[in-house]
Amino acid sequence: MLWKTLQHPRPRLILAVWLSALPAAWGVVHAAEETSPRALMRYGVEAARGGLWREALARWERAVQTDAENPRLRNNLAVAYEAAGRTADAGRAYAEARKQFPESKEVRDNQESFLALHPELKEDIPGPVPPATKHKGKVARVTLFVPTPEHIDMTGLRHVLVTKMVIDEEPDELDLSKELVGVLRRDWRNRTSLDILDVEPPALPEQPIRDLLANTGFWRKLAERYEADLVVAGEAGFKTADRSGYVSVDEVSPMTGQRVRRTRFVTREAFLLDLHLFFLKGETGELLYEDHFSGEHTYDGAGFDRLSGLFMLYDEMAGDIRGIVSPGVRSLPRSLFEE
Amino acid sequence: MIRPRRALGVAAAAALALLLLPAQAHAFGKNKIVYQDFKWSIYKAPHFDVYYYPEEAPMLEQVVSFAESQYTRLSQILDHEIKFRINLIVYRTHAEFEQTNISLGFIPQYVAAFSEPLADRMVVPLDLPPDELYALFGHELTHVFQFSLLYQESVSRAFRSNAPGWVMEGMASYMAQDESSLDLMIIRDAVIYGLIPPIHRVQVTNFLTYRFGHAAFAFIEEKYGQEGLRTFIAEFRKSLLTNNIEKPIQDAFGIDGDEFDRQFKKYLQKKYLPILLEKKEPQDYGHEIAKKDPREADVVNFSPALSPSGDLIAVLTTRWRDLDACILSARDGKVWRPLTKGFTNKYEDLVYGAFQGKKDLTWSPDGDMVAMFARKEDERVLLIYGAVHGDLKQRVSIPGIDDELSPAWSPDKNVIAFEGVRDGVTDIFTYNLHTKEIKNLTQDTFFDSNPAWSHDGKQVLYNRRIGPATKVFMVDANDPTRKVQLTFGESDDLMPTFSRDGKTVYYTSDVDGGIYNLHALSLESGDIRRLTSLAGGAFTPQELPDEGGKTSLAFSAYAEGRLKIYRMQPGEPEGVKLAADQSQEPADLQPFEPPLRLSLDEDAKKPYDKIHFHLENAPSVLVGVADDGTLLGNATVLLSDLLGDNRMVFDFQSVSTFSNFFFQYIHLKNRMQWGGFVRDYRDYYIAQSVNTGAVARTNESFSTTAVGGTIAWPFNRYYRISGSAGYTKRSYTRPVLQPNGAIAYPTTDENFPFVGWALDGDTTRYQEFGPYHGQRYQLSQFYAPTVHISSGDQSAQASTLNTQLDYRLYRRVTARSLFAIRLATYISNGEAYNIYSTGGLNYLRGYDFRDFYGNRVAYSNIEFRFPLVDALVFPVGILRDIRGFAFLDVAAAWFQGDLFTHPDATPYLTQLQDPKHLYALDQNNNVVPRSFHFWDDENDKLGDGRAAYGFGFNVFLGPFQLTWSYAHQLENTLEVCDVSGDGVCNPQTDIRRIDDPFHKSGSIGQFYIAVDF
Repeated sequence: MLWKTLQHPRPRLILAVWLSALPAAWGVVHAAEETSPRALMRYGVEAARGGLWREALARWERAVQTDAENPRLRNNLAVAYEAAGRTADAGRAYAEARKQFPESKEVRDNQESFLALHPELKEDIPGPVPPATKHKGKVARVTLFVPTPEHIDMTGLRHVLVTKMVIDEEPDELDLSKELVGVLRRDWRNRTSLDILDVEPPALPEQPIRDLLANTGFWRKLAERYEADLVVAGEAGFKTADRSGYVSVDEVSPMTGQRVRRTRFVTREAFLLDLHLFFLKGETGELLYEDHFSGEHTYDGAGFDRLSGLFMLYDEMAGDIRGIVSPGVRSLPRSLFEE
Repeated sequence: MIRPRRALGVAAAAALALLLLPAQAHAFGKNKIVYQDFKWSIYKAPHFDVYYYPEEAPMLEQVVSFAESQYTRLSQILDHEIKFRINLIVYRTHAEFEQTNISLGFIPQYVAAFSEPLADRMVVPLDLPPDELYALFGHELTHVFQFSLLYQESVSRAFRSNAPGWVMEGMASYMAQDESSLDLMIIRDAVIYGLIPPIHRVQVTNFLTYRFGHAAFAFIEEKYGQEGLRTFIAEFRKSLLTNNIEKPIQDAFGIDGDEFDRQFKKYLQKKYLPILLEKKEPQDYGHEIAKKDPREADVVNFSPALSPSGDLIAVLTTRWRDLDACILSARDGKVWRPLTKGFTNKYEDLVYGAFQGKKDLTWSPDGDMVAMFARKEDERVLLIYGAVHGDLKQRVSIPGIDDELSPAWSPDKNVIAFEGVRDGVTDIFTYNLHTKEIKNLTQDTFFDSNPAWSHDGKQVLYNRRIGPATKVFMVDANDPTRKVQLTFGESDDLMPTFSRDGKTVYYTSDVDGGIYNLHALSLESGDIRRLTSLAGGAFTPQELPDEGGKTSLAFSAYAEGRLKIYRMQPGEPEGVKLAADQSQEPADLQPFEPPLRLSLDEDAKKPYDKIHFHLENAPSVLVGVADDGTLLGNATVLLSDLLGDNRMVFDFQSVSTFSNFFFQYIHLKNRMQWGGFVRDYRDYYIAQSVNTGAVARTNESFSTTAVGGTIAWPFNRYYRISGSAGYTKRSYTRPVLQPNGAIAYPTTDENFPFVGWALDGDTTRYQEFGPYHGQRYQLSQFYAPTVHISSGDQSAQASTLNTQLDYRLYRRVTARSLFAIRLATYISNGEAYNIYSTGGLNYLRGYDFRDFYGNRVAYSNIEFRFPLVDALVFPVGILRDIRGFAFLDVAAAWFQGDLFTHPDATPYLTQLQDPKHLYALDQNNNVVPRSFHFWDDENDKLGDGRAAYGFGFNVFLGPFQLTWSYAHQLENTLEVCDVSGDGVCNPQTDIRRIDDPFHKSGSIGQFYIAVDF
């Protein structure tokens, strides 16, 4: 009889409340064939999402042994090789994936991004290129942090001397050379393993920089005096520019409450940094490398602090500058197939 | 006279309640099982009676030599001779030690041994390295000296004193000189991180109590000399029963407790703080692999094992408030896969040796599985979990080996190497997962541990204990005779592993001032590089896959009171020891030898065949007076034999002039437990006159005398089946309303044999606030086929069959909250049925205690329990851990034949002419019984079932749980008979249901003292 009465809606409600606690009681049991290529592929994607690329690579390498004709698996494997710094393996795996799955937009994007970094691995793709189509299954977007080598072979170059910069036109209220040398030395000291010599930066003779760069004896003697393996010199310019003008802005009218587009005159100021760096080998005085960096930042209003403007511009180019003498890391988007 | 069913309906409810059996289950509980049949013998040594069994005979000479050596040493230091013979009970392994009945509680793996002042017993397992075993004998024997010195063979002194743990354990540790480099690490770390307690105020006993207690005795000896030590012990003994540690400190040293604490703190700081200046912290070498989450601040991860890919780390963890295993991301420390998932019944406990310098986890070479050992029943089983889904793949029992630890998976995936004990010797064994073949890899008499395979599977590194040192050895995996010692000296060199190229052996060693630091031994040059110089300690070095041409290591380090996992890239070594320097060291350390080596006398061996009982507890004698002036008394005495296998309980109770007696004998020697009991129970009777209100005390309301036997078979730790049989004689008086309005108390006598059985299950895990996760149940039946009933000049024969189920389920929600569910039913069939009650307390809140009764009772409760207030501070003290709960209670009680008795709506208490027509008589002047309907279909609400919901809070005050609840009754209806026409109830036409006029609306506040179900 007790059961009979429980068939009524109200006791069923009580029963439902009672039973609602039960899901907490028993966990969900899931069973899967975890060593099948499909399971390994999925598990690898999960690992890659968590940044566990070696784990992902190990799983996909096992999966490809039994599912060698799966282009999606090849693509994933290529990305994992790339993450592991195994460039040649990555190149081969991308080529194989592209060959097996030529219409895949994901494979194509991955490979092209990879080849942009490693143009030496570029090969002509025979035949007509079919139009790219997006994969309909699950695709995971991941970010790959790829190490990039330094531009200069830094073997034996540990002690670095940074000279004063040659300044085109000295800005007001700012010792540009002092600030740039300071910020560069601090950055390299903190983020590279180089020994940045802690000396008063030597001034360069007043002569055209190109003439000076050709004078290997000068650089050799300078390096010898400071016991430097590498000398870094530079030419810099820091300017402001008026960028004021009329702009269109959307505003909410305080009278009507409607959004209206207005044209207003806005005062703006831009900061421009132009930096040319030269890297000279201390032992021979020869120019090893030179690079040019420039940047511009525009701020609303006038009177934005110049020093802050300079540092913000430098921060934007600091990674690239550091990458000349020290290995760096680039973040690259990649697509992985989950199935 | 057969018990009249209808007469129950007219019995006075207030009086009847006294006769009801409250519907609550018997105690649950897990099972302690004696798996082995120990054939005990006694060896009469000069000062000891050594209890051993045949399997221990080869170790007996060592046991006697160790015990007598320590006796001689301690009696000289303490200048004291023990006048009684010391009972030394030894077990071959810890697994066998855990089966002892001397202590009826479960013995965790961290309990090394114990001593008891009662019966002057020392209970010691023997599966330790010889030097550590010798120290363990010293520790426990110091306790026996303490018992002799302090208690002077007086049970009364033993029970009345409450010696602080730091004194008892600190002295035992200090006298035994059992402090290892790992112990010193704990103290050093506590000093560095400012965790020194005011020692004289310490009341708790935990691992730190041992360590700080040891340090306190070292401080006393350093400052006041050995004489100062003896003076302190003498003063402590003098004021033992005052339970005031201040006094012996003052009398021995002339300073008060606070000054003693200050000087002790300064002593430790002077000793250890300089180390901080010259040593480094783990963060100086690398970064911690941990999830940056303040909510996980108290999570401890230890015993890290790196996956083959190097991206994952399997660890043991306290994350889920139990000891569990999980896989972490080596990148950020986040949980990648839980493995054991917490509070499982697939095994009893995970086995760990991390705090003895052992490894605990291993990965399969393909990274698919993680293996570890766990205690299950009387053995340790190898648990193999899938790393992909975190599911249990295989449970491997390895026969013939005990104390398995530190599994290491071979590179070909077929074999597990591990540490284990066979015939009392600890060696490295291998177990083939396919052929199940077991091999002894080391085959020596030394204590071997920590196996680790080379990457080609040809060599196995391991630790060998030699004398007081642990060295790294390497053995050919196919030829146990080809062993090579790799490290030398008197240090402990633990947890060796190969580098990935097989050219380097990483390990941790305390060679540098007793502090464990990471070392790298080049197998090519023999040079040893010290990689770290930590103030705490570093363990479990494992090489990560090459990272851009640089070697990286994962390791665990002890700092700020716990182990943490780090990764580092070794830079310049902290020190280098060239191979040439090592060769100057002695190649062979000598095995440990005790100062005295005694040979055995065969005549001193006796069988253990005479059982002598002794007092096992402090006799509990309670005397009190109830608020009505009734004198109450209670005394319990527990007797046991020396090994705890035979136990007797005597319990005496007296209430006024009525005395109760209970005796039970239990035989616990084997897995099948049996016993017998005799019970004589009497209760007196109070009833209040309805007319005058006067309290009437009759003589005896109820008496029962029973004799019987019980037998129980535990299936495992959690489940058992039991049976009982016996004979009961009982009598009771029951109030019956007489036609003249008076109450008569006819006596009914019953005699019957009975049988019963019960199935019990209990997997509940507890936290400090009570049950937390698991389930408990008891399903039982009691059958009395021939109940002889007599009352006055009438007699009859009846039978009864009682069936009971009490099921409780606990499911954790968060660290301190849970769902608790209870479902209980009690059914008594047959003409001699029992009556049960429910209502009130936490059975059915919002109603009175035992408000409803019947020979069928069912109730269920669902509660969500959660922390409410952690502490309320009052000027007079602090009230801690106030917890809240929300509940829904549902209950019903009725009689066989679907008869319902309303507690309030009885004709006895209600005028028949009451317009509510609550009850009525038929034309023959018989009471028309109410029929039971749990649910009222017509009105769409509860009928005779009752339910209430609400919330409440509770707090422990000593052993009492004080609870306040606020309940709302759900609406229900009551069956009445409409007699408005002729004044007579016609059951066919006049019965209908109305809203229960006794229903209370609004919040009903109740207070009760009862422990949560």
